[in-house]
Formats: sequence, C-alpha cells, structure tokens
Amino acid sequence: MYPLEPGEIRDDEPERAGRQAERMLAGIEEVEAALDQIAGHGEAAAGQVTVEAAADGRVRHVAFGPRAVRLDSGTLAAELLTAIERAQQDAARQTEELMRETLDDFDPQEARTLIERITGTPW
Amino acid sequence: MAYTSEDDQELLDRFMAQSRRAMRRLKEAEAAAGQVVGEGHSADGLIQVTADGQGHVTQIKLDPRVLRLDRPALGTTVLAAIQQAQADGERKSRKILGEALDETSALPAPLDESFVRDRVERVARELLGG
Repeated sequence: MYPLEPGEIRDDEPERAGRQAERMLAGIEEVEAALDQIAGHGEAAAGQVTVEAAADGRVRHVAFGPRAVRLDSGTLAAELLTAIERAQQDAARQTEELMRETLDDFDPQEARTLIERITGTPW
Repeated sequence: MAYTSEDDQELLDRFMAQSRRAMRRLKEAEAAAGQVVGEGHSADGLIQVTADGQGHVTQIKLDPRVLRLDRPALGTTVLAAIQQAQADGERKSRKILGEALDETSALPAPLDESFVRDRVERVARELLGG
C-alpha cells in the first residue's frame, strides 16, 4: 500500500497521509464524546427493577418499582443481577454499533479475534 | 577477538528467552486479574456486592431488613454498594496488571536496524584489520 523506498514517495503523499490521519483522529474524538452519552438499559422482575449502565459497564442508576419490594430479598437480589447484566449487554451493543458507524470498516469482532490471535501466539 | 555468527545466535536466543518470560508474566497477570473479587457494601452491611475486575457484578446479597427502606433510598444504597464493588474490582485488577507491566518494561531493546548496522560495522572493521 505504501512505498517502501523514500525515493518512491510522491510529493502529494505525505499530505494525503496527514489528512487521513486527521480524519481518523477526529473520528476517535467523536467516538469518545459519544461513548460518554451511551446509556444501556436493563429490566427484570416484569419491569419492577430497572438499571442503567455506562459504556464501560459501570452501573449508573438503579430503581425499584412498588411491587419489587414485595419480593423476598433473595429473589430481588437475583432479579437485580439480571437487570444489571441486561443493562451492560445493551451498553456493549450500543458501543459496538457506535464504533462500526464512526470508524469506517471497524469490526469489533474482527479486532477481538486479531488481538486474541496475537496474544495467544505461542513464542 | 573475532566476531562470530555464534555471538548473534546467542544474542537472539537471549532476546527470545527474555521475550518469552515477559509474555508468560503478562499472561499470568491477565489470569490473576481475571480472578479478582471487588467488594462493596452498605454502611450497615445489609447489602453486600461483589464484582470482577471487568465491571461484571458477580453476586448481590440483600438482608431482608433492607426492604423496610423506602424505595428511592433502597435504590440509592444498592447503587452505592454496586459502584463500590465495581471500583474495588477495577482497582485490584489494575494493580496486578500495572505491576506486571512495570516488571516486563525492562525488556531487551528490539532487534532493529541498529542491530544490523552494528554488525556490518564490526565485520567491516575486521576486514580492514582494525
């Protein structure tokens, strides 16, 4: 894709590469700002337990409906765990969608596979 | 002493051995970070939460007495315990990975073009009898 010999670099190529790098950086900044806005939602116990999670999985909000507090505490704890998991999954799904839209041709699954292949390579 | 290709082989073997050790150390740290348990609880201890190092909440224990709290207060108290567990798990796994990275940062210099240039110069000097 790129010439390996300095002599083969055409005059306009450094400029073109610079513009491409600028576009990528702008894309990354855009992604970072949009990531902060992501809110994953999860519900359990027929909507009586609701949770909001951020893109990094941090739980940001927990609310209980009137019927939630009538459940026994063990069941309520289990429903809460389910709602958290769903909220985090929703946030993860939104994050992947955002990455795919903003960074052209970025495939999170492909990136993960590549990283796993690199780190899993026996030396 | 004349410069031999055995010296290069030895250098390369040492480089590979060091790299292998560093990779092993990082993999061990990664596995250890995967085992951390972050803990969070309410001030009265009636709510107990655990999380792993990646932000997943792994366990929630609610004492039946917490159900006497009004609903907004229950939400706030539960949320605080969850956040505490997630932050604790993240802190613990970061510490493990950070220590491993510090240890492995003392890797040998990569075999770059200076490695080759160095050898060309030494061979040239030997040829010239210098």
